[in-house]
Amino acid sequence: METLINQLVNAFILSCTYALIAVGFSLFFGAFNVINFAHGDVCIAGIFLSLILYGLLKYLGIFGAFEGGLNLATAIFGVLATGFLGVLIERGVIRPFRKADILIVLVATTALGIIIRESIKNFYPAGGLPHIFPKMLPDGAIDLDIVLLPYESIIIFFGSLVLITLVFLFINYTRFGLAIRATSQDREAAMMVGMSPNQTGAIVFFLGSALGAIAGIINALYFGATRFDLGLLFGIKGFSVSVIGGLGNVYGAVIGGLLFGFMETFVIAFVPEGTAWKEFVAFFIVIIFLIFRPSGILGEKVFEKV
Amino acid sequence: MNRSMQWFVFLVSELLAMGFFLGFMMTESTVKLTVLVVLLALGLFGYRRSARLALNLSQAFTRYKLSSFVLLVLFVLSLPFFFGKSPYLIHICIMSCLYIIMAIGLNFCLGSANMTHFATSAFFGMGAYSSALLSIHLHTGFWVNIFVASALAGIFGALLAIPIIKTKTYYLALISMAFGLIFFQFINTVKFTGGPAGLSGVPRPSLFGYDFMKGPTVLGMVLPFQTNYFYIIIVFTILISILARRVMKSWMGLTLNYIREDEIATSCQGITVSFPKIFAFALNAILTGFAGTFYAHYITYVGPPDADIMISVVLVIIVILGGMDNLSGIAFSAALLTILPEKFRAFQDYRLLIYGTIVLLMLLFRPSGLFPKKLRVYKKG
Repeated sequence: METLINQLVNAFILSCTYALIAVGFSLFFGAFNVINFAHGDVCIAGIFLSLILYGLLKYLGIFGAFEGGLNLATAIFGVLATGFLGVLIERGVIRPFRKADILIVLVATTALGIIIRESIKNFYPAGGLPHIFPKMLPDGAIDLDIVLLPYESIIIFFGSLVLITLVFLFINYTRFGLAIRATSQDREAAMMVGMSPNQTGAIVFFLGSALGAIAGIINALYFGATRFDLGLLFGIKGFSVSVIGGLGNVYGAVIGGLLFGFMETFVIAFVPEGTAWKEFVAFFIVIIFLIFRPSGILGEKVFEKV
Repeated sequence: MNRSMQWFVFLVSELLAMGFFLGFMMTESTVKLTVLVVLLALGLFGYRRSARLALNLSQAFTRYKLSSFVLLVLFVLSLPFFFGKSPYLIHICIMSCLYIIMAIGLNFCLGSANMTHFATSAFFGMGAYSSALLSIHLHTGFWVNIFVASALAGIFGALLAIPIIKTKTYYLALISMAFGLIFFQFINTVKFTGGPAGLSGVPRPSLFGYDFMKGPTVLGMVLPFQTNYFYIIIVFTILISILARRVMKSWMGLTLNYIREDEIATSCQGITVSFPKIFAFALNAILTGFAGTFYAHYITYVGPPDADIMISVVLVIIVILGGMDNLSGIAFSAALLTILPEKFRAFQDYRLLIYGTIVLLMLLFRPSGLFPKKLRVYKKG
């Protein structure tokens, strides 16, 4: 019973991470019809940006009584900085290719991912090694008689739940959300009624990248460590999740995240030597989906027009 | 331009290129190398900017096509005599040839039919691992493996293509990347591939009792043992380039180009779309698997890094940089991207960073690559 509950908590946190990354993919695809293959690396950039501020603060000796609070502040800085990084990416790499061939965008974003990943490796001190991520959330746990639930897990879980809800509210009930939805339905019609695609793009990329950074930080917090080359796997899994859920559909991203998170945890928990096989099973599911239902769980079937 | 002038242009430019290559390979100091790279960049820039220069050069080389080819082959065959002192330079040349073969293979998918896939690493690993397993368990030699393991890789590629070609663009990239990662995970996990430790003891080739570990002695000059491999891979590279050119000029190449331009229009013309695509994947896998086989027998060790997904990314970068569907451009960029990081050892850590930056700048400012493909010409006129 105890392991079961622990596994459930694990599964939920993993699902939240995947869902947050996949929401980014869906937003980008919805607004611009692009897949940002650098998105996974952008998430990792978020972790390292907050680590940079953390190291700087530590070097200046600002930490004292409220270490946990300041750590949280560095994380928030990392998230916001990643959001601006996303805006820069949209301006520098996505916008010039708006009318270009899909292949070009694909290779350009892959190259961008390499640039981000290798920059972290080469320019962050000892970037090639795993780095410890500082604790930000209060220690301790709730004793539920049968199981000990750490505060950390609870906060992460409810935090991401609130976050995803906020994203839904933002997309469905604000003016900017309306612009995003309109642009994803028909960009030219949206432009005709006065919605600037550049502004929408900036918002979408800020939002998506910041959410990705949050996902990265949640992952780093949960495992206590991070590495520069997690980005590739983050990106491919996030993309897979959004494909399974239905590309361009934010609800689908959440459903896909849940499916992926639960399946992986299940494989780790119940298959012997499961950790080695979890990627195997995950990608196998993606391949099956792509072959038999490429539009995903919630996606609409798209017919190609000449 | 008259005939003798063209002959002059052709001879001077070819000799210049050869001299440049030799100088680049033999120079050790970073400063001189940087000067040479800047010269090369200026030359390329001039070639791209001046339409007259490009036209004259291409006309000269078209007229003396056979002579230029023969001269090039003679030059390449004589390379070990220049590099005799340094086995490392010959090793670099062998690696360039392997990358050229892989890039030619990838070109069938990426260049001819616009199918961007990231399964090259899986094909390479398939070739390397199957030849290692074959020679360890069945004691087959190099000359058997080079065909059997390549064929196995080809079958693997064709089987992989059946689900892959149902998808397009982003989805195709995703599914092939998933396959590449699965393959990597698989050989890293299962026991019979040696797991993370890999397989060592892949036998070196032998031919009629000739010892490949002993360097040949030519005209009293003892060459390093890599020379043997160098000559084998040169022969195969030439054969494969000729084969690739034939395929690209055939109806198969034309069909692949047609699919690239408009897949729906192709099928509306009553042309089967799926078979050429599977064919392209199979050929790609055979050539890449061949490179893997050769690599395994040359290094005598295979390990999981040989199936790293970064190989696929680098290959895609090579094809885009060289110019899609242009064999000589691709060969040039494959050699360039293999030799450059080896010569600039001080910047070895920045290899991928530099690749990424080059490609991004290239796509922003010159999306058609260094040498864009020319239009097909069937009749001289």
